Amino acid sequence: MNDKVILLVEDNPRDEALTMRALRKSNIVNDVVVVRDGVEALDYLSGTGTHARNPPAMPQLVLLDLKLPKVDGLEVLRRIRADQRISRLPVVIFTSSSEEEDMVKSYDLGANSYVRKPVESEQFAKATEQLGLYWLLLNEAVPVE
Amino acid sequence: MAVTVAPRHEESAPGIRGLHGKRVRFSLSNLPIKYRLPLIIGGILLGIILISIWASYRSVKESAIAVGRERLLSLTQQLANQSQQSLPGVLGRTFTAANEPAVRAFLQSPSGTTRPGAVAVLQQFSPPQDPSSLQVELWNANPAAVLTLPDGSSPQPADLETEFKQSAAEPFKAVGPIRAVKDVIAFTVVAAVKDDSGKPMGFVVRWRRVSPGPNGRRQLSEILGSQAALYYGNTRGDVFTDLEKVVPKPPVGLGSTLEVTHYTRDGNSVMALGRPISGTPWFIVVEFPDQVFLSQANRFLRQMILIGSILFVGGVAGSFALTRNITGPLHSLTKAASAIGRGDYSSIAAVRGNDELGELANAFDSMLVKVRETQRELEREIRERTALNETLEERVANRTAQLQAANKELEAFSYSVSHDLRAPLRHIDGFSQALLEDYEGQIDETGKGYLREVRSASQEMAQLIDDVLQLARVTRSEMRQEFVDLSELAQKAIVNLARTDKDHDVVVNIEEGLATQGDRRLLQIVLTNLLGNAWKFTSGRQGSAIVFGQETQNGEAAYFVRDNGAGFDMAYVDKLFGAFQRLHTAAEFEGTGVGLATVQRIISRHGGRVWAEGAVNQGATFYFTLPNFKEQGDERQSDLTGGR
Repeated sequence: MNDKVILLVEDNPRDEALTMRALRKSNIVNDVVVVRDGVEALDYLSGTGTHARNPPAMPQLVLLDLKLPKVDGLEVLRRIRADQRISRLPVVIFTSSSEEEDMVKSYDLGANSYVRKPVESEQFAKATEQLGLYWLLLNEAVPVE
Repeated sequence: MAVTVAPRHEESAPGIRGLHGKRVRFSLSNLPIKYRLPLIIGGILLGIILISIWASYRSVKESAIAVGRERLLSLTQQLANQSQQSLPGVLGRTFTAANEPAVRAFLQSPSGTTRPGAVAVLQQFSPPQDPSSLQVELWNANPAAVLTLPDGSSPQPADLETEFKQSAAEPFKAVGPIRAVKDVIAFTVVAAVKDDSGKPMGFVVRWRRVSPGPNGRRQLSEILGSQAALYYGNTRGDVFTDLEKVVPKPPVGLGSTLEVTHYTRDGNSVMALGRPISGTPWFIVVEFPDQVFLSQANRFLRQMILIGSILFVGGVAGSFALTRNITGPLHSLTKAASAIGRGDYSSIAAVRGNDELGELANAFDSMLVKVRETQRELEREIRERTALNETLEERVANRTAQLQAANKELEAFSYSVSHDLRAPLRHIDGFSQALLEDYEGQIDETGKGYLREVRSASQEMAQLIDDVLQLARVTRSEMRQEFVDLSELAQKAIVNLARTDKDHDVVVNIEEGLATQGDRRLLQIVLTNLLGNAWKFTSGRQGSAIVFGQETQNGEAAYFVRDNGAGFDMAYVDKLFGAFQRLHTAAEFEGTGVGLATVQRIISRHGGRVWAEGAVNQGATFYFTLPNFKEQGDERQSDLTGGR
């Protein structure tokens, strides 16, 4: 299970901390790679930029926030789907936005799932746990190498 | 199936065709009035003139013919009388001569001695003594001619039997019929020679010429005039003469009916009358050319025709002038009116006169002037409006751009509210929870209580944010129009409510089949909010009931959500639908005060109205109408049913 990496694209350290805590409490001990913006996320996935010297492990799941510095989440999603090597990565939009427009665009660009971050902390923890369990244990992804 | 097409009769039939191939039938009603009226008047006039000419000519002619008949009657009478009156003298002289003793003596013993005595007596009837006489003969009783004068002539070869008998019986009627003797036309006068016992012993036969002497001719022409023709003949019709020669019998009746006969002679129509001369076998005919009597009637006819023609021409010309007088102004009016039809308002009918047409034209002209003024005014107004519209369009474009910019800003604003405002709340709640869980042993109950309040506050704020966002979205989202089953939406809302609050004991009654046209998503929010309120305000009560249905309020169909819960004071009904207005404290009922404001916006976007009735602790009823959308629904329904 350890080899299954989660890529968390989250610019807010508090959300990061709460997400990490929820995963931990759900006994999900996989490696979680956190990147702070869209550019870094794309660098990690394509092995360029700051991640060039260090060929990364391909993640089993990308948890993608929409509102990100530099390159926003929708653009990151578009580029993932445009890149043949990583186009089949499971990408779950994990965001505060409940705007219908965001939801529609995400699915149009090929998001595998859209989850709104609940304000209520128990529900937040529950959502995080269920995401981890589903995408890491239940879901069979196409291996990327 | 074989179909034969018969040639159209119309195509083969000859006919007058107009420019467009249509057959034009001549009809009075096709003619312009200016020809039609004179034509009609001329026709009527012609009829009247012809009838009156015919009638008056007829009566004039009849009277002329009557005059002619009178003339013929009197002429024939006069001539017949004249002929008759001369006869007794002639017969008497012949009778006297016949009964001279010398004549008897010669007949008793015809010899050289008695002959000179008879010749001396009869000499008076022989030419040259009597120029109108042809010859005279003395016959014995055998009968045979014994003496003929003048000397050397021979007796005429004629059958005189009838005359002999006549003279023996009635001596004064012994006039024979007219006979053609060689070149001469003559008649006999016979007298019997009687012996002492009165027995005829012989006859004196005188042959007299019919043609009169110079005196007689003069007399006749005096009587007849130059134009009449006179014919004598026998009543038995065998010989007729014009006193010069034998002529064919004129085609008149030989009776004594005295009828005027009309026929033609030498190409001229003539009228004739004949009558028998009593005491003789003779018949007299007088013939006049019609012209003699009809010339006056014909002259009258010519005058009538002349007068009639003048009347006709005058009448037609007059009616033509009169019609022109009427149609002229009409024509001017028509021309002016068609000019208006072309959009040319400059031409004026300009008809002078004080009659109705003049008045009409004046009215027309003043109308035209008015129209012209109005048109100018309109044109000016249009120009102004156009200029105004141009600036208006510019202004609208500017305003639209501003609105679009504002909308964009609003969208960006609500996006950041939804995203950025919620994130800190999540963090507050999340870290409070982490404290409560991870440091449970280090915080006392009071501290834990505070942390729970922090969490509760943050959750309330999150709900508030969601409601406000919904309100904003409801206001600016695009409306769709679709078929909406309100009963089904209400059912769905109740199911959701029951799922989150399983303990609430309430009877829910939803009327079936309430459907309308509208935006399904927005109407779902309406029902969720109203039923949510009803649910909320009936919680914790015994015998709670919620009803969703439809009823007529002030003549319009209104949907309603009714509950028997906490209700509200009607004094504050105005505050009910304002955003962030609450009638209950948060301790009594939770809520943000945005739900009813959202409901009101949605209903008013559907063209409807929303209002509430209630009383404290007696429940509340929220009504709403969806008129525009309801009507369109009805129309569609009627289309469906009407299309059968």
